[in-house]
Amino acid sequence: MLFFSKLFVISKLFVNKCCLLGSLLACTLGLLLAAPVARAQVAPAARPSATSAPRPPADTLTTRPHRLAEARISTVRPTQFAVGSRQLVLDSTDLALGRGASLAQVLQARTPLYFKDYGPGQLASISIRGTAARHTAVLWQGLNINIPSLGEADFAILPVGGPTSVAVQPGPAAALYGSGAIGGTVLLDNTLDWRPGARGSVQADAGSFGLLGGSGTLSVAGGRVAARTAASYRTAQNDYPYTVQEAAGPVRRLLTNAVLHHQWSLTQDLALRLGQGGELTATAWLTDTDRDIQPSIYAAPTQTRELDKSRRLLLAYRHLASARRQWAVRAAWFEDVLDYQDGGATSRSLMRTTQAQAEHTSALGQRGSLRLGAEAQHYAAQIDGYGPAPITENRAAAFALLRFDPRPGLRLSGNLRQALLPGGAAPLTPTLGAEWDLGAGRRAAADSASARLTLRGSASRSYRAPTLNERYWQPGGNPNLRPETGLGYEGGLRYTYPLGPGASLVAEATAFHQLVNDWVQWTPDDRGIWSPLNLRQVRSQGLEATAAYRLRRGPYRLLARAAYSLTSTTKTQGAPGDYDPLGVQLMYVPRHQGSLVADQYWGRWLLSAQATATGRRYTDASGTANLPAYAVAGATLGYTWRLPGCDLTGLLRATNLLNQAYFGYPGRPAAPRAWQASLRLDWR
Amino acid sequence: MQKLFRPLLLGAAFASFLASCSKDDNTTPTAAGTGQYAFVINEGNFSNGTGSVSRVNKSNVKDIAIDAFGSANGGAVLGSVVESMTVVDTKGYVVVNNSNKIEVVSLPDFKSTATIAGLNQPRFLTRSVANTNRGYVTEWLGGPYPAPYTAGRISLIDLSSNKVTGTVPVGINPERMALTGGNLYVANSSSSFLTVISDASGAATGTIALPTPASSLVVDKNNTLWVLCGSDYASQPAKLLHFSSGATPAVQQTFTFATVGSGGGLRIGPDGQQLYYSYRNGEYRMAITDTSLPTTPLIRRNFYGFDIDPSTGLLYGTDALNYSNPGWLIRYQPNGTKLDSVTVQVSPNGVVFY
Repeated sequence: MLFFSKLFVISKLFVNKCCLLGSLLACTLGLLLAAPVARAQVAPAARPSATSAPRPPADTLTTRPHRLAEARISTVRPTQFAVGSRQLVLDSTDLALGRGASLAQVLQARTPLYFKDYGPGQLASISIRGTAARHTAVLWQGLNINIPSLGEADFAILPVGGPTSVAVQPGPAAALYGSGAIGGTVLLDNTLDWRPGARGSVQADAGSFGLLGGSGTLSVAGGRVAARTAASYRTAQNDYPYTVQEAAGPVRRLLTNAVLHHQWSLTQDLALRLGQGGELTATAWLTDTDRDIQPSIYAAPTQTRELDKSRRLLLAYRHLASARRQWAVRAAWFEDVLDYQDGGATSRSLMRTTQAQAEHTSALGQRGSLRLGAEAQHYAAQIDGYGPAPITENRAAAFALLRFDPRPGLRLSGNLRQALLPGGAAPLTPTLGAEWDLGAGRRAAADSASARLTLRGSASRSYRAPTLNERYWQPGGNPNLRPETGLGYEGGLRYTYPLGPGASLVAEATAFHQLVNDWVQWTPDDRGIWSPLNLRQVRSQGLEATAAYRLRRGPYRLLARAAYSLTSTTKTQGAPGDYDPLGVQLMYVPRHQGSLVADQYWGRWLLSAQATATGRRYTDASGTANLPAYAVAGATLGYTWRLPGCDLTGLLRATNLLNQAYFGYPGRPAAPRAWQASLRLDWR
Repeated sequence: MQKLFRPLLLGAAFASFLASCSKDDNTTPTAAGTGQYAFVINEGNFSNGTGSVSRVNKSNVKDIAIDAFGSANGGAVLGSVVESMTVVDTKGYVVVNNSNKIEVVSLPDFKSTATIAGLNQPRFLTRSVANTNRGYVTEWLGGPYPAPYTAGRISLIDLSSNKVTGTVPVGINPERMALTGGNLYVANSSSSFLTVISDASGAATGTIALPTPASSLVVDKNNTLWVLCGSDYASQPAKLLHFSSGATPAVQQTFTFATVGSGGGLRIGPDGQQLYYSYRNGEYRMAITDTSLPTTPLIRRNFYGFDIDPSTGLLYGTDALNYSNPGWLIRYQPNGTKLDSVTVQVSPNGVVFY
């Protein structure tokens, strides 16, 4: 019960700190609001015709689509050009329960996504549809935030709570999302709450193995200004017990070298409405993680430590010129630091990305909309592994996105992107998508009580630009590396079935197939120098099935969802010198992956349970060594006290509830059953 | 495969990995036991930490215990980066580099009998001649990437108690050793000299300068020292040096390789008259009486480890492929004709005979 006393101390500290922070921000905003700014007189903008067509919720897992409250300016979101694809959207319960944790933890616990995970707080690499982490584009506010040197994101250092919405779109979509959108795309967005007034919350967390954390959010809006601040902090010792088999028998040890020294995130959004239909937004997202790099438990202890710092600043202006025309420009500056230390020395990486985007969206007749846009990035990197001189690189792309709904119940999109990369032009990457509501679906727009069947499909070409490491690492960097390219197809159906008042079932099935060509593999030459080469073709194909059930009976609400994916990913063509065999499931790609989530609310009580199952994963390319399958469950119990002007919520959570011993990666035992208690104060 | 490649260490991994893929990381062939077995040293995947030793029946290579240590010890993992093994009478001293330990096992069943812990990045063990109860273990100090390596040491091991009894400072990143004329000669893979240690006293007595650092050295039937000084990649080609005999050896012949960037893994056949080394994409053989380096390889293959069976003269090459798949043990007739092969485990770096 020690953590309860810790919890209350922490929570008290946080309430005090956050109140101070809140008052400061409120004062600032008060000054801004005091300026003679007329209340916005902009009429609610009519959505461009294409978006007014009945479109089923993009998500299959969510229970509560995110909406802009009282939004006066509606923008056409990129996802509206993603016809034929599906999205997993984290709902408000997912985000609330995951607050302060990493995206890796939340996505692993509550979706069927697989991560190659080295342990709590350690590197977590996403694998969507059997592809590698570098084949997932991670976009924040529409901009790629994969670390430029590695071309991938570590989901352990992206805390939940910075962005307000998290969605995952499996499948290739480079026309829409750019480089790296081969296996899928993770979409992180900050959305401001324009409801007048101030609201906020503070939360304190304490748990097993030295977990301490806290977070706070504050949103203020009034007239033409809206602002949001979100901050979180977390630290953990991760000194949990595990059992290792030694020659003399099983030995129980405590994990060392896995401390999360600190992890914090600070987000600041500020939006200003200008004139008729203009909105200026300034956004900052700063994240900072200092952690031990845990060696294999079979290796000697180390003092390896890594500091990851990212500073992301964005300035955007969007203008709704008329109901049929809008445009937006954005400029961003990112700085990523990755300092790796061992034995008192540091290997430093400093990367700066400066980029700009511009896009123009117009209605095409009554049933279509067209977006034309372009973007450019400038990378500058000072990385010890590249030698003493800094390197720079420029990339650019132009895109055209078309959405056309020829008749009610039929939606089409056709997108196109052409990227210019330092090594030359990337291939032209088009995407075609279609969705068709069958039978009753046509009437569904008017009658939400009828069953609806939607067929959908898409075909997409995609690419991934070579990373800075692949081009500039010394020795071995290969400036002649071609971009990887993917060609993928998917088709599926979604069935929405109302089960009487307050209950509904949504089931969805998808089949996918993709070939990735010029798959990059680091390979040693005869002098022992490793270089990345375009060596392979990899085929990934599989099935995804999801079902979501909702029930509301008086004070009782149930949101349950189940998901299963079957993924077969193999090398289908090789090159001389590439020894990995053909036809063997790739390393760290489970063939089977499933998840179950059930969130129940009863008045002020919350009981959430989730379980995931992960199939066997090969740990070498020949498929001879593997990690066995495992299933892991967790649960959260919560209660909310209604207080004047605010709500106080207490949460008690258990992860690995059944205390399973398993490995997410060889030599890295997963944490045993762990407890966490949280206390949250929300005020309106 | 000394250091991590997986993105665990993110960008930093690449450099340490590159620094580590030296082809000299082999195992001293030791003639002992019944001669029935060949033990293949599998470094294992660095990141996973699961190295192993495979026991191969020499009369039928398909008769293999793929993880001899795990099988004999209830599924225990041998450790991270198994570097070498030295036979001491009926014991095997298995040096587990990244676990900072030596596992002592009985042979040939591989049951664990002792663990020598507290070492630092140990590489190879050589048994003293003057004091057969003493073992010399080369150890690296400093590092790992990005920290620089510093001058390493030799730990003196009491082979009956399996305790460290003393240390001797040597050059940076010491590797293999050779004993002749009452002296132990230590190759330092990042210092351009050999360290000389008196086998009788176990104390350092001096150094011998080299043109570039060496990782491997052997003693021929005339008790003279051969040292292969590696290429420094950037400018100098590798050089094979033949020293004179006696207590103060001097270079009597220098064989310079044709191109920069390769050359290593010096071995000697059981008769003490044939030298073997790897160069570019081949394994070469040279008689100690030859006056120039051979121009054609004995076997056109890039081995990660290469050893000669002292009892049969058969050649055992190991191919690590791309270090992420189980590698192969390939056997050849003494004339270089391929005999047979068997799949072993990840990153096989050499073979020990017993």
